[in-house]
Amino acid sequence: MNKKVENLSASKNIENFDKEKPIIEFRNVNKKFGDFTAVNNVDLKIYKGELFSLLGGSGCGKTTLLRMLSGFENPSSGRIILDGVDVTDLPPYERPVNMMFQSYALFPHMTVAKNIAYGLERDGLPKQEIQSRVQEMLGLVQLEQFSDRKPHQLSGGQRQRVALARALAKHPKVLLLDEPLGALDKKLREETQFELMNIQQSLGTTFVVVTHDQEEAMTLSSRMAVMNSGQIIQKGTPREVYEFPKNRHIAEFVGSINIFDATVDKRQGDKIFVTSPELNSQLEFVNAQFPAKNGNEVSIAIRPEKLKIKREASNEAGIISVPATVKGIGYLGNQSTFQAELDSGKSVKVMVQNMRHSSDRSINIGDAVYISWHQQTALLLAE
Amino acid sequence: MGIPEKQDHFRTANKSRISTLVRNILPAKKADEIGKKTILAVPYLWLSVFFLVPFFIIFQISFTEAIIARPPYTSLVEIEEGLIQIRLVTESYLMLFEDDIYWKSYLNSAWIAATSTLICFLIGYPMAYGIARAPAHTRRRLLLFIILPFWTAFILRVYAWVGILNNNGILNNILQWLGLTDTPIQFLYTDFAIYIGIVYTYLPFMILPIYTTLEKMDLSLMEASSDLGGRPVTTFMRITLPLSVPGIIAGSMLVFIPALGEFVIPALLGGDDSLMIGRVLFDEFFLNRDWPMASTVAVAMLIFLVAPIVLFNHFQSKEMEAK
Repeated sequence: MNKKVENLSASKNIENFDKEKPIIEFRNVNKKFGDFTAVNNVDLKIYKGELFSLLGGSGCGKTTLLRMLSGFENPSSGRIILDGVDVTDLPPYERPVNMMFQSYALFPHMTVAKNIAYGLERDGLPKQEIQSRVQEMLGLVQLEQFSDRKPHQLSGGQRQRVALARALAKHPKVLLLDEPLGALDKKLREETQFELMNIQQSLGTTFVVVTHDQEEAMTLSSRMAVMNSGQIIQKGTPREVYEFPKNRHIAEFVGSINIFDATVDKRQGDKIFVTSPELNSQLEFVNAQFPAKNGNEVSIAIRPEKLKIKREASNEAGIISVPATVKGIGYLGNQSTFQAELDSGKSVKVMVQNMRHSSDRSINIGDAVYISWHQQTALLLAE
Repeated sequence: MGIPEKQDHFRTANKSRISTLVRNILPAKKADEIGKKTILAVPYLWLSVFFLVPFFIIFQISFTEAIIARPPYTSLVEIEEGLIQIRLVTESYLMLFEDDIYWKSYLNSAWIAATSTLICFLIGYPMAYGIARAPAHTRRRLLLFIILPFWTAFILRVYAWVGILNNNGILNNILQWLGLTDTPIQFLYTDFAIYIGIVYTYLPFMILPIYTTLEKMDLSLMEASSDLGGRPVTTFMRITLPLSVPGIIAGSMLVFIPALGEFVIPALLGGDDSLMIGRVLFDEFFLNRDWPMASTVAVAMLIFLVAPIVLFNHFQSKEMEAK
């Protein structure tokens, strides 16, 4: 299993995909429900073999985008191209995509085998081939011995796998997954994540996943698009989105982050000097493209795991230290989170890996400490 | 490792709280049982007083002989010279097989009831489907229209059909005005009129249960079928229709059973030759004053026609429970 996962992370590299030929292309797609704009001018290319996630909170338009791809909704304007064919006006039953529904939508009056065979029967395949394809799918999701059960006789995890097998049975060009792990408990969700990635790898089918769970999107995807109020705010690999969030909203939505208000003092070549009263210090950034002018309000963002908490200030080059008081410690087993208060009154979250035995813990609530970070790990965000 | 200890402490605290809870609940639970039984006793009592007792009276009368007296039948149990005598007369049951009027009217009733049920289904299903898929606010209004006729007396509504189907009625007038016929067509006092009456009266009983199953059906099932390549007709035949079977069965029962014993509609709209068991019953009771015969007809109807349906229903619900 571990080996497979390693392989997966290697294949997450976007360079592996054929950038010439997108399998899905949204061109200027808009969707309005009455006065409400659910999807606003979306342009998006997804490449063959990708595991692409659409990430966003509820009502951000991600599900509408997926439903337009499957054909349940028609765009108000714009075109949708699937493998070179304009499918914008095709009904769902004529599109070479299949969907795994959030509720699974298994047919309650049919057995597992019948559920999986349903799509193949609609294609009018010979009986023998249907049977062998159903067996193949049952094997893929390891449900061979459950083929005669009805959906209500299965557990949540098994139902999820039947839904996956049913959607994959027709060998669709693209598999759409609407919150595929949403109904599973945490432990099962983690296992299923890797199973899903393995299946995607072995079949090479393009997966498009809709999720509100940023952790899920980060683990699963080769690339992801973060959406907000109908628009795609940022797209890229999980690493790009996490390390270089485009704005404060994405920084806060993907992972947890400390944000400090700051003002631009001056720009010198590609250097930007900002002052943050909350941090009680002046910082230096290198970013020629940054749009801010002198006097502009900006934000400094630092991920909690990039911060260190120590009793002494650090005087290494490039390390910035600020004094703080420990207000709370959360022990999570593999790691601890510290809640510390800076002299300005601003509260900061620090995440520390628990490498040593916890009884060695040297920092307690109320201790005066220094929070320090390497200046390259801090991000400068407009807005 | 301070946390696991804490958890342990929490667990023991919880355990003791649960045990006190259980101790407090036990007497209450007994009271609960009694309460449950009392509530269940009400429908049982109702059914035995208003269904079982009358049925036994009828059953008892069916084994007596008609006489000119008050009541117009011999008594089953007689005390003669200190001896209890039970006199069972099976003559009425024999009569049931000797005179073909009875089984003919049974068959005819079953035929008319079954056909009306089928017509109700064919008209009612699309209506229920339309209502279930209508926008929420229209849906409520449409449902109101379905129940609206019940606010007028049943007899009046059947009489209204006399006015419509009459030789000089609205329907014939329209047909003549359109030039489709010169002489009035005989609608009233035919089986056709009976069908119209029954379908008209019982249609809501078909629509409402079907509507209920359709309304709570998960629409994503239809989407899944469409997504997997099912055209609208296939989706309907393979998914929607099979999943609405419970509603169809309930609706069919609600139409078939009362239609079977229907008396008013055939009496007002049907011809003299349209034999329905309800009319035979009425005639035996009130024209022939042969109460034992009438009771026999009623008991036989219950055994031959209603009992199989009830049994079927019973097994159906057992199967549903198993799911």
